[in-house]
Amino acid sequence: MRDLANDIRMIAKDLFDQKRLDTLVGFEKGSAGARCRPVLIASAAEARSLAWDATCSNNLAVYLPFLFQRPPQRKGAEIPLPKVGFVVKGCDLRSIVALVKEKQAPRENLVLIGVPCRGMVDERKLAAAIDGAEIASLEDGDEKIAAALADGRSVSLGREEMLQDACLTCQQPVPEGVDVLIEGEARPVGDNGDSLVKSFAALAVSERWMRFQQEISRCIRCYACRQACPTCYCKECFAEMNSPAWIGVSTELTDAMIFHLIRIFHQAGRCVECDACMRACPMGIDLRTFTKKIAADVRELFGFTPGFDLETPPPLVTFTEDDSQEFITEPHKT
Amino acid sequence: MKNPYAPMPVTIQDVVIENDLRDIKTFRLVFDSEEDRRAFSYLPGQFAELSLFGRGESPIGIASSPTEEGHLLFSVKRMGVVTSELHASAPGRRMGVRGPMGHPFPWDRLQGRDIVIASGGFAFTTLRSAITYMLHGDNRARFGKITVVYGVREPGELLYKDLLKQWQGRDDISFTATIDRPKDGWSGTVGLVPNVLKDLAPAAEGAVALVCGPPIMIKFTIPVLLELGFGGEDIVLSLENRMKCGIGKCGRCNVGPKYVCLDGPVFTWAQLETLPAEY
Amino acid sequence: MSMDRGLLAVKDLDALIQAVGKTAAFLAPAAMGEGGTPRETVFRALSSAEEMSLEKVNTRLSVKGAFFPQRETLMSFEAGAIVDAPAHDRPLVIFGVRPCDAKSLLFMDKVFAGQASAPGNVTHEDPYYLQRRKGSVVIALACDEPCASCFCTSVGGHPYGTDGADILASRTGALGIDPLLLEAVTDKGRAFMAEHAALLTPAGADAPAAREARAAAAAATMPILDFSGVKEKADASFESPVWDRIARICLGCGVCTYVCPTCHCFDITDETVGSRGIRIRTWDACQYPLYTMHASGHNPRPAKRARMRQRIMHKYSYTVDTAGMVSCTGCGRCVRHCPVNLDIRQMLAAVKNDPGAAQ
Repeated sequence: MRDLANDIRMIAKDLFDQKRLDTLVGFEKGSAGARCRPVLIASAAEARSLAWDATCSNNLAVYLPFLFQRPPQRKGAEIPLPKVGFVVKGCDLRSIVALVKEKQAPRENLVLIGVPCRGMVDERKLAAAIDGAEIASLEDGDEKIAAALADGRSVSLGREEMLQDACLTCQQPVPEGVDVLIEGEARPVGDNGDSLVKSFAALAVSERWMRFQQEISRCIRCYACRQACPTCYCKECFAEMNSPAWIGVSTELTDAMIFHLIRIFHQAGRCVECDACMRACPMGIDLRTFTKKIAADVRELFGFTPGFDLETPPPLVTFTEDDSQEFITEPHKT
Repeated sequence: MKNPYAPMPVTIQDVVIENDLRDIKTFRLVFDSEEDRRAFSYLPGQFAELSLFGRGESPIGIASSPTEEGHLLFSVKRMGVVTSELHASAPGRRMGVRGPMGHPFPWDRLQGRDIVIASGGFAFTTLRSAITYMLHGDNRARFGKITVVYGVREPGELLYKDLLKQWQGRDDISFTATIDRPKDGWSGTVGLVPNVLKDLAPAAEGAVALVCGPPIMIKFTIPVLLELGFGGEDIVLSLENRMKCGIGKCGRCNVGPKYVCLDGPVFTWAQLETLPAEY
Repeated sequence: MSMDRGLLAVKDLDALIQAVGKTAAFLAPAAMGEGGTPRETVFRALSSAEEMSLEKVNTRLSVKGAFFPQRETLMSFEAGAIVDAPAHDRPLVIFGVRPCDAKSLLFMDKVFAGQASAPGNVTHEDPYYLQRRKGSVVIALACDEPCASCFCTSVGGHPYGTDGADILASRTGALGIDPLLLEAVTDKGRAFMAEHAALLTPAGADAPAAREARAAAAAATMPILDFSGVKEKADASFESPVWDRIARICLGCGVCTYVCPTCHCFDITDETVGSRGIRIRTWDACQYPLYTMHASGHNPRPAKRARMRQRIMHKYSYTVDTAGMVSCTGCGRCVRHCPVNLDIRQMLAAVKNDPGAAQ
């Protein structure tokens, strides 16, 4: 199994040495349960801390709007935008493409290092497999993951069984259109979780509503889902406006449900189904079923999936004369 | 246990539009209950939370002096949800008041001293309270010379215009109203508050300065006062900060180890220098 | 009559819950169920012992929700006047509170009793929190297997600590099999044990010594991190670039503040239907960008570095000045639940070892 971390470190170091970067967003070793965590580095020397393993699940595109935001510039005296590198999996890259299309950063200011992905571990599945025990360290292998537990035991787990659902069904494990593609093995292309969406859509509307209500009833309105999502970057979220106050701020169920409905609808055509929202949620709400449903609806209605192509305009900001008007003329038609 | 979140019922008795832009109004409020009125014992410099059920609350400095019995005055600028609702309210409307809150100006230390007041824009409201209090027959003898510089952008933005005229006619207070730039019809002083203060050059010996204004005015006025010889303990400011509960629990106005609603809003310059600049 | 020490057999736990349930709500950790991982628990009102789940890992959300709920109706109003301000009379018994959470109550008590600011300030008492606290009995459960994310001993706590507890319960053998040793800490705890004396059996004379030995063993599993001088260093490093480095990957998601036992920031909003409505308070977080935004558009903490600095300095410096204690109790929830694995222990070490002078 290739040591992708080493490749990433070398490429990062070269990019800084060649002064092609101001900042690089990647992963470094973390502290909790032997997982990796995002890191922003600014020099060749810091490239040494870059890491890569089966716990690099965060979607790093979430840092893009923050790195490129700045106050309005005086014409003729604009401070140049930074040059930012990202170490990207397929999902990170698709989010970045969505953000570039929304003018959050010019493509030419990005240096994208692509990593073919074999899938990332789901912390919850891991916890379930070891009955909630604490992990001291993890070692990624070809077929197995070796977990050294805090109590001294060693456990060998089947890799596929530990992967996130999003990874198991991933259709884009190899990022395309990057500046540097690291050589490595990618997992086989999946079916994008088709069956999950189909079984949810097959439920009666009232059952779907009950499911949604049940999940959202745990929401504590912490907004972690929104903050972890790369394509949620509004400076003032509708949920926090008070003039007008669209929704209440508390855990009142109707307010929580409307918050999630609107947030997920705002992601239509932009959500890459990476599950960052679900991972961040401290209450373990199954947001995946609902985000994937919206994504599936967009595919069905507009034939569009956010991918690697920078040219295709996102459907919900595109208007053509022959767009269907049925929703106006025949609103009751299902 | 008294509930510090429950507002006391008051009724709007009168509304006065203060400025040409018509976005600052002074509200005269009277307590519904005599008991509440007696319990609301305050000193100039304190503030209260004005409550409009259905909209929320807004922390506003008390503009009336405790010597003006029977009612409270609040001058409010229309900025957001609560203040817009207030501005749309007519006399007779019932609302709520929580307070008084915060520390007033340090009246113990101001006794026997000369008072220099530098104020700008809309922040003059609690100084109306302070000046009215000091000029009152019962109190005037307790203070030395009173010198006031009150600056606004344009003449139309001066608050309490009638009261200012009265003060300018008195000989126990030196009152200078100033505007930023010359304007037709204005024969008074022209100049920014820090510069006017510099020209006036009030003596620092035995004096305390009260400074209330927008951050930019404070930034340039402090050096003038320091140069005139005022010490950090003798420059008194009133801070504004975003607040919610007004009673030091919700954390919103926390600056360093202080809560602006509890430890302030009045701070000396010496105290502010020890606080992080997060206000 | 009061009682200092006694043993509670596992079989009698249910009887205790039933007895308490006659006059009070009994809260204890129960399986989180949907959305949780195995062994994850939350505090719930229980009616029987079989619903209780005492696990090694602390509850997902802290005990603060029992006294300071995420959503609380402060008062209801109609036509511009208050109609009702709810009282909270139902007594509460909370069982299975870890010493870190129990200690956090000492801090929260000060905040809501108006004793967490300079002397000379007016003392405002929060009736909503204080009424619940007055009517509560806190039965702490000592920890024998601290987690890798725990660091209570580094912030003046202890896995067998009694701060904030009315009674300390600890195991005598295997949890769920052998009896629990109950030791009263406060008069309230003594009275509770006397009230339920029929369910307790006398503890042996060696019980305290055995408990001491277990306590020492539990504490020994945690390395003591040296946080000495952190306050002074942080106070002197306000403008240092170390805060940028620390906060860089923070998402501003607020999870740390919501799971934290001592975070108490809240928002107050009005919700109406016509002329009727309620004024509610809800949890808020200093980590949100708009938290300090003024109506004028001025934001005293516009950058992430300022907000992370506020979080750390509030807990490790400002509350030392206002409440006489570091308000972090080392429960480790923020470490476990941060989506980007920011670790407050590492952040404190970074501040402590920062060579950087003012920018």
